[in-house]
Amino acid sequence: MSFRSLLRGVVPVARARLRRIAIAVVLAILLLVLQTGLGHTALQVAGLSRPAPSFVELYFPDARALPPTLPASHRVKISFAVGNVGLTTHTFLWQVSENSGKSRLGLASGRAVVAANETYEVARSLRVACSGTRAQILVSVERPSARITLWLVCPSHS
Amino acid sequence: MFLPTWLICLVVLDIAVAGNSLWLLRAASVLLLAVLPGQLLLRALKIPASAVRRYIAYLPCASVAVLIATTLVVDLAAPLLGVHEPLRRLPLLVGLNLALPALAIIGNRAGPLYELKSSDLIGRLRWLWPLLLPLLSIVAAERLDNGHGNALALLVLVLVAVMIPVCTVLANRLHSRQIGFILYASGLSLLLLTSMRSAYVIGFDINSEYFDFHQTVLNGIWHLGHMNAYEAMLSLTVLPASLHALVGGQDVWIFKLGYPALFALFPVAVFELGTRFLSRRAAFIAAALVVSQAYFFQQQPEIARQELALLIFAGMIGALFDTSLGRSLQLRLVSVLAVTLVVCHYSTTYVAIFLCISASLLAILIPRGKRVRLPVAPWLVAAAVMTVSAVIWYLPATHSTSDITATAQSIHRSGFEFLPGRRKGESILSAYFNGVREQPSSPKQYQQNVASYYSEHLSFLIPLPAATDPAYNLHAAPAPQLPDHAPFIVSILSDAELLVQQTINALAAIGALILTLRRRELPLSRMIGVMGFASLFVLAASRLSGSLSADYNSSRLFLQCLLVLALVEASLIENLVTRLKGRSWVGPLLFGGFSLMLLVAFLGNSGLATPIVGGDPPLILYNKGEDYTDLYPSAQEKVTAQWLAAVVPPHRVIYADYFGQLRLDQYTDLRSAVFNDITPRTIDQHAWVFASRANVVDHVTWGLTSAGPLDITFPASFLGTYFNIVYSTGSTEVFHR
Repeated sequence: MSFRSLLRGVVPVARARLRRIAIAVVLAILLLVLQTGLGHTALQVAGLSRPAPSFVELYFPDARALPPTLPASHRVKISFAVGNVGLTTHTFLWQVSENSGKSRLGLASGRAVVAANETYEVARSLRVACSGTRAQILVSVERPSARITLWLVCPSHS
Repeated sequence: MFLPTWLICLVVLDIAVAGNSLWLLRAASVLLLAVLPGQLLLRALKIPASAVRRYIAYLPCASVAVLIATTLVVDLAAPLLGVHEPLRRLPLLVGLNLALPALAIIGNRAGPLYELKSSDLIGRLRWLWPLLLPLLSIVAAERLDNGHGNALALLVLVLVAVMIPVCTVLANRLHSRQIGFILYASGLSLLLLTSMRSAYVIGFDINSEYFDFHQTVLNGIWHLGHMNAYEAMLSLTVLPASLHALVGGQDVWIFKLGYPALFALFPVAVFELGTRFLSRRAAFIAAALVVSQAYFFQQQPEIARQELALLIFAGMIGALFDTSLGRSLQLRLVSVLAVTLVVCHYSTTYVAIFLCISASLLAILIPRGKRVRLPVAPWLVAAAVMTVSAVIWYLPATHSTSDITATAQSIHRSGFEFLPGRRKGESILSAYFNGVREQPSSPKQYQQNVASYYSEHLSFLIPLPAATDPAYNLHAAPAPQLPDHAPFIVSILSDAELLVQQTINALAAIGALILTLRRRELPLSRMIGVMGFASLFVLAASRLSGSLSADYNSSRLFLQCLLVLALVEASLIENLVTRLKGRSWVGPLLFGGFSLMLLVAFLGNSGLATPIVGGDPPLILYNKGEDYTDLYPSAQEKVTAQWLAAVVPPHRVIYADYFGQLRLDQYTDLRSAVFNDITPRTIDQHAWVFASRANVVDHVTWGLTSAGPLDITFPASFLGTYFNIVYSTGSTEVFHR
């Protein structure tokens, strides 16, 4: 067998093997790069990086034992929690109002600065007018918006 | 002296698993876990590499068998050695480092004939280009999730649609491995379009499946004992927990990406089984028939346990039809796969046992004249191994027979319920084809029915007196459809789909008959015909019996039977073409016609025509529509469900509608005292009501009727007037009073 024919036999095999190795190396480098900050940015630009969810959780911490009636003093203690589900600190504007059906009367408001994935609890003693048979207390936050409600039977009807 | 390849691979696997936080090493561990255990098991069983080359499904099936067995042994044995959480990376890696060398030593004497090389699996490098399609699919699903439109998803569907006729034409000129890659890539890309939607698992059953898987991951151990069927299936507990521990990343990826990647080998198995007795073209159209079914690419990614079980079933059937293996090798491989199937999924096992026994009986009973006796012994052995393993696993090991007991009780209570939809004076044939035709209920009827059911059977639930106020009567909710742009085309497409489906059924019946009874057929094709007959019998029984169809979804059964029925149909076409070979136009006409039929079926099943003709937007293309509203879980729903689970007392009643319940299934263990009818007349006055995004944002809820879920308006006005909203994320709420 001549050297030339030997080469003819070996070169294509070696070439094919080299091609495979080259593709494997390129894929490996690609995977390594994708995991870097640069790769994440590239994925984000391509619309492939799922943005972390960002929203508010608003709830009554004592949801199992909410007062059903308004005391005769018309004062009631309202506690609620604002949870920040997101990656950054967020400032929430909150408001507590009394909803009598026709109109809404503001009872308290404020702002809560909540760190990422933390919860901020607000407790207020409020005077509720409760002019009808029952009153609805409405707690709301804005941007992102959410609201929770509490019905109270007025003292004269309890 | 060179180190053996398996040892090098094992060391690389150890390194890859140890450093699996790096994507590169994670990818390496996935590849090695898919190949190395199976390679060593097949060599230990002395299955020739040539047999694996011809039927590639053996390899992942064997890998799954080794991984399940190793993990189970580690799970049960490690606690005896003081390891309290054996389903963690280190104990599992130790287990693999004992099991794999043991297999290598058993297979040590096997010669080069049993040595599977990477070139056997890949063939030529340029044949790998179709694998870009699944990548495109992942990108498409991600972009759609992130609100960047459906152009890429449409492109994937168009490419798969084009693949069907083009490959039918070219099949005989392409290499089998090349066709295998095309089928694998097409199937996987379709599966991923569904499974990769949302950051969470998506579908119906998969919600509860994921919960059991996730609990196993959290516990780090799985115990034998009294458990429900899902907890007892190792495909939902031990195996995914092990894969998660070894591969790393979020556990949800095992179901979203890992299982579809395995199940996509199912059409490849159909093709490779077909090439044993058909031309590549005929085998290809059989596999394309599977790929074009919505049951394959839309339903299966939502049923993780069956994805894995169907692959194992395909492996076992492949071994049963593998005449290249000797009897003893065949029985060894079949037994391993049969036991693996038993621990993976109950219903697939029951159907497999029935198919094996009935095919054997048919083969014995059908007069054979001068033809060779069909080899039924392996089939009976397979049935026996599955039955014995099932009895051991489902009874003393896990006490998890609730599903089969429920079916038996249902049959005992109501009988076979022959053609429950048959009307007075209607012929059996007409009733069979029409199936159960329930008139859809109106919201008013549903309201009355469900209220009287609750007052009769669930009298401990006390609704508020105001619930009967006519102001709170239920109303129909508008279906979230795209406007019909071309009703005429929609009607034609719908008729064509029906015609295609019925033609497919008819071809299967005729094909099975011919393959079984034709004198000149080879034993292999006759056995496939007999198996086809048995499959048709199972399908017909599920259609005829109200009890059976109520207990097992007929579309899932259809997909399992399609493994053989697709081949029977392709064989019928090939037989016709061979018979009429004098007429050159017959081949292109029949194969082209069948390919066109598949294209029509695919157009309808995939929703590819929706952007043009309108209708219900499919989940794989839109962020709206029935499936999106029902099934797509959001992060808000997750935290709401978890908050509810943390807050509610042990004795309580919860209401979550038919699809809202899925969020509780996926993220919480809230299973008991959860009611699905969110209507004023059924809601207990002290209930907790979980309102999903569909309820709060889309204002829709569902009432479950005998004709299916009924879209009704969420009773926000009633709940808002009489209940407190105790929790909100803006798009989800919890009501309580």
